[in-house]
Amino acid sequence: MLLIHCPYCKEKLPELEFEYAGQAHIARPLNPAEQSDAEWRDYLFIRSNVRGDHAEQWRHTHGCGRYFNALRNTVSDKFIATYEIEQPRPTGSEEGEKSNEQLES
Amino acid sequence: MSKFSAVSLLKGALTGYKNVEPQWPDAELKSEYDVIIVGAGGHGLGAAYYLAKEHGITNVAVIDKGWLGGGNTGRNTTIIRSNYLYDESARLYDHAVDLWDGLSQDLNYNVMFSQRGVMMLAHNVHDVQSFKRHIHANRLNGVDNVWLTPEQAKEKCPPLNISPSARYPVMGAAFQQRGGTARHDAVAWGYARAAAARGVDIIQNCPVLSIERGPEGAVTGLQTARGFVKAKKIAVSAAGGTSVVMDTAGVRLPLESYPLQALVSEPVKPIFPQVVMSNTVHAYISQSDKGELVIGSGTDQYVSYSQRGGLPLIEHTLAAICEVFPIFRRIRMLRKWGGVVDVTPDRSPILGKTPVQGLYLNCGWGTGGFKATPGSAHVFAHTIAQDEPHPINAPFTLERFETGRLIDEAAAAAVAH
Amino acid sequence: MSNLRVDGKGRINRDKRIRFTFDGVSYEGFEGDTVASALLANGVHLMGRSFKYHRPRGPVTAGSEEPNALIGTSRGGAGRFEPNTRATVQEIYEGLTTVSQNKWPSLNFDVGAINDKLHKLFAAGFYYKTFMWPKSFWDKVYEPVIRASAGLGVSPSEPDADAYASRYLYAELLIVGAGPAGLAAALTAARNGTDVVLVDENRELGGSLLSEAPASIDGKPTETWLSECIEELSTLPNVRLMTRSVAIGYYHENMVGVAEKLTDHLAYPPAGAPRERMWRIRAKEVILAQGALERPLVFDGNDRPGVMMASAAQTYLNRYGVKVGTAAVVMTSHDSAWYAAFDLVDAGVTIAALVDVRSSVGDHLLSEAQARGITVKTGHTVLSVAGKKRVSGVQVGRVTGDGKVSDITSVSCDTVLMSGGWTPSLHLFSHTKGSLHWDEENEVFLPGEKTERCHIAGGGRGLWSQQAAFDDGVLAAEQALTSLGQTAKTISVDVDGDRAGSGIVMEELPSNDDKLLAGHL
Ligand SMILES: Cc1cc2nc3c(=O)[nH]c(=O)nc-3n(C[C@H](O)[C@H](O)[C@H](O)COP(=O)(O)OP(=O)(O)OC[C@H]3O[C@@H](n4cnc5c(N)ncnc54)[C@H](O)[C@@H]3O)c2cc1C
Ligand SMILES: [Zn+2]
Repeated sequence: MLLIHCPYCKEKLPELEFEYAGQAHIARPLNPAEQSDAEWRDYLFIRSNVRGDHAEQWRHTHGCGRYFNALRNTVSDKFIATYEIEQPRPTGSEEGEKSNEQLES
Repeated sequence: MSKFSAVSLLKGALTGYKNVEPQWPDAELKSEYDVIIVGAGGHGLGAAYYLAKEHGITNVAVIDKGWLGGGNTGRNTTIIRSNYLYDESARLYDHAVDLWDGLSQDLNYNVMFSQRGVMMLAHNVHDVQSFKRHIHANRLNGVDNVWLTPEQAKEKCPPLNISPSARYPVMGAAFQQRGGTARHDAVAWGYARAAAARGVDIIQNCPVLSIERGPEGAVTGLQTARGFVKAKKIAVSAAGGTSVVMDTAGVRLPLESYPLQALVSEPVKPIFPQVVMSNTVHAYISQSDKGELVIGSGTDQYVSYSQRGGLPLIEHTLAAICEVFPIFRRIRMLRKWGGVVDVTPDRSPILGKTPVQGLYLNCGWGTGGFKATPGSAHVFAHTIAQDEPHPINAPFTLERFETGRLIDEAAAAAVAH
Repeated sequence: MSNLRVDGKGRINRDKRIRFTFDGVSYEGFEGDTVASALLANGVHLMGRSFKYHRPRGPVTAGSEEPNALIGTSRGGAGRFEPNTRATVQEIYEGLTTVSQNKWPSLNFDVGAINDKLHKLFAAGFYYKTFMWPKSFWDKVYEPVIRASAGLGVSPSEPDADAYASRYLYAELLIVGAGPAGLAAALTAARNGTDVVLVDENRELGGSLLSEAPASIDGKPTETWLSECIEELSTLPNVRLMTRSVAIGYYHENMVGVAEKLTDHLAYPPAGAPRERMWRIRAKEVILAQGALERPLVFDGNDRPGVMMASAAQTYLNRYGVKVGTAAVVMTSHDSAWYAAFDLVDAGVTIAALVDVRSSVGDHLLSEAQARGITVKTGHTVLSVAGKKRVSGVQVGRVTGDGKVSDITSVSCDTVLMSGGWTPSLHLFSHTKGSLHWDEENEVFLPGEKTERCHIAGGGRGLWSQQAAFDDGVLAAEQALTSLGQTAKTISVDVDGDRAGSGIVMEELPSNDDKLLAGHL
């Protein structure tokens, strides 16, 4: 069971209190009608599914109830950071979303 | 490669198995292939076999980063059924069931396909309505599936607790007699052996690092841990690892990879005749031919490649199993493990061509692709050989996420299986 | 009571006799016995049948690693039967009923043993190569037969009558295993004021000290040192000791699942008491001090009742006061079995031959063996075992330069004690996806890269002497404390009469034919 630091409650708590809410920083298009099918597909369905540092949303369901962001490594499952929902991905990790960790060769 | 037969077995026994050949040769990686398949799971090995057998394409390599069958093929709970809701799915999964029947003889390898029947328990009114809808839809598609009363379910599966005061009351069940299980390792080995016998190279412990494309965009080959290999066509069948490989070709996918866990108990004498699944409590169970109770759990909530699942999930699953089958409470678990399953938004696979010329894709089987292995491999081989999907897999395109023609099997696949 | 009990040996309570049954026959043992130790004290080795060939089987170990002596247990009443319980772990209590498994009609005469005669047909993986012709026979004939022969014990048939509990626990330091390494780590951390939990699957803390006591520790007899150590730990408020508690899984972020057995050793469990308690222990640091498991050797008949690990015989003697036989042949590639042989001789067991596949061993071993009048055969090997339901002798031969065997003679015995060296117990560590690296020199897997905040100490790191284990436990605790930001005051534990040793690894013992390849294992 993971331990997750809620940036609002400022406490590290067991995963059971939280719900995963998918990849972070995907902005909903303001006017869906103007989207091409491909853009709408990307928004709805395409995910980085990165093997490495993954920015994702969690909700502290059984606590403050708020959504927040986290940066977590999907190979080790370790959290690198958790941060408030409006905040951008921590600086220095922007590249991460696209770079999969190489398989050991 | 010699054929297995009663005579060869007896000969082996009498000569002390002195001349045992390896089941398949450990091939050297050549510099060029007509087709390279990434991922030596059941789906990849099966595709190689059908490419050789039905399309005469034998200059083929199947490359895996680990041991063949070491991915989800060797980690699943081996449930086979075809009672999915939509016409497209019914055709795909039923094609597989047809091929399962006879696969042992076709491969000359006993995959121990056991049509012991699959029962899906309904615990509430929603389940009852949903399963009855599935049963009607299945019948229209010629797929067998019948409704059982709680008493009929108990008659088929005596350990079931049908008391009305049970924590999870059983209100009935859908039952597919043609469903069952097969021996997963034998499926991988059988396909590997039969493919190798037809000239396919099986390359193990060789991670594929990237897919290379030429100036026109078409694939040229693969970068692997053992160097560059040229290929006319590349087919990716890498389950949980698919997005990582496809990303190197510039193709981003509607996939997320999640941990999925399973466990087995210590072996006991036969007690559990069918496969029983419960979507509502996220548990499913059967008894292996060795006597172990094979129990599957749900996916963890977060994306992960760690192959490590969490304790809460398996606790939840075992608690549910103990409620539904109270006689199993005193049975100890022997092993547990996790796989990495590739899940699509509509819980149906992606099986076909990609925007990249010469690049083919078979993925998104998520928690339930073992059952489809022969059917999927068969139509995938057709797609690769003809550069054109087989009618059965034609609806399972990548484009459906753009056109909106989804095949939503979330209800049929609501539980990992 | 049978004369296989040795006076003055063992940690059983000789004032408290206990009766239990095995396959309907009533036996007597003492409080502190396991089913296996009590049956062995009564001269019973045959405790089960093997899975496929129904070969007669007896215990090969004295602990939770037991593969053979699996039994059904019950305290009577509906819903209390449990299959596949290790006889080497289950403690006896008044009223315990046990049964053997996988036999029909009886353990002594088992029809399924016909498979053993046909073993050449049923080689490993034979299912995959056969039962395909004619196709229609699969559903109707083969599959039902295969399925019907599955399994070892029988499943319970009634809902469980007992209750179970579940708890969370938090600690700064969790130590798994209370042998020398775990105890030393616990003492170091406990004296420092660290919040410590120490768990061990056994009834008593002490690990290998209970099976093989060095002459003295810190100048005191081992038993005195151990009880003082436990006394000290149990009086400290910052320490929690948990016995009969098995660490079953190592999960993310240093959460360890521990199953604590509460009543399965009691004749009269308190009303309403839970039978087991599942603990989820979350610790800031974890020390895995689970020791090592002795490796069996591969020779024809190494599964006959009466063939067991040398360390198991030593444990039965020193922990339970039981001689596992009267005349033993030792077959080893490691020094440790020599010490087991010495303990057995000192307790009155005849060592018919001490066979070591190595051509030379340390002089101190040879002279100690000579002092005890043991026939030593270095550069020799055991080829095969005679006897069906109990060993009656072995074939021993000299290993020649080309790896074959000559000068073969028969030696009679009722017990064979084997040792192929030791394998570090790294199962829990592997749960964390910690990597293992292959140590070429000692031919063992050792812990490599870690993914959790854990430390491995003692036998788990391939260290074989008790002094080394104590020292390593202290070191692991110091590392854990440093990582907790505490400053550790170091301690030292001094062992006198430590039995350090080494050995070699044999994949298969030399022999003159290759019949073992037939999947007979
Ligand atoms: C616990 C569990 C229970 C399940 N239960 C069921 C069930 O009861 N019924 C059912 O129908 N399905 C079940 N499934 C799902 C099923 O196992 C899979 O859908 C199916 O086995 C997928 O087969 P595959 O050949 O596509 O993938 P895999 O067998 O996973 O093969 C993919 C291969 O690709 C290799 N690979 C990945 N990346 C690379 C790379 N870069 N280079 C080289 N090789 C690479 C991997 O090593 C792997 O061997 C279960 C899955 C799990 C984990
Ligand atoms: Zn919060």
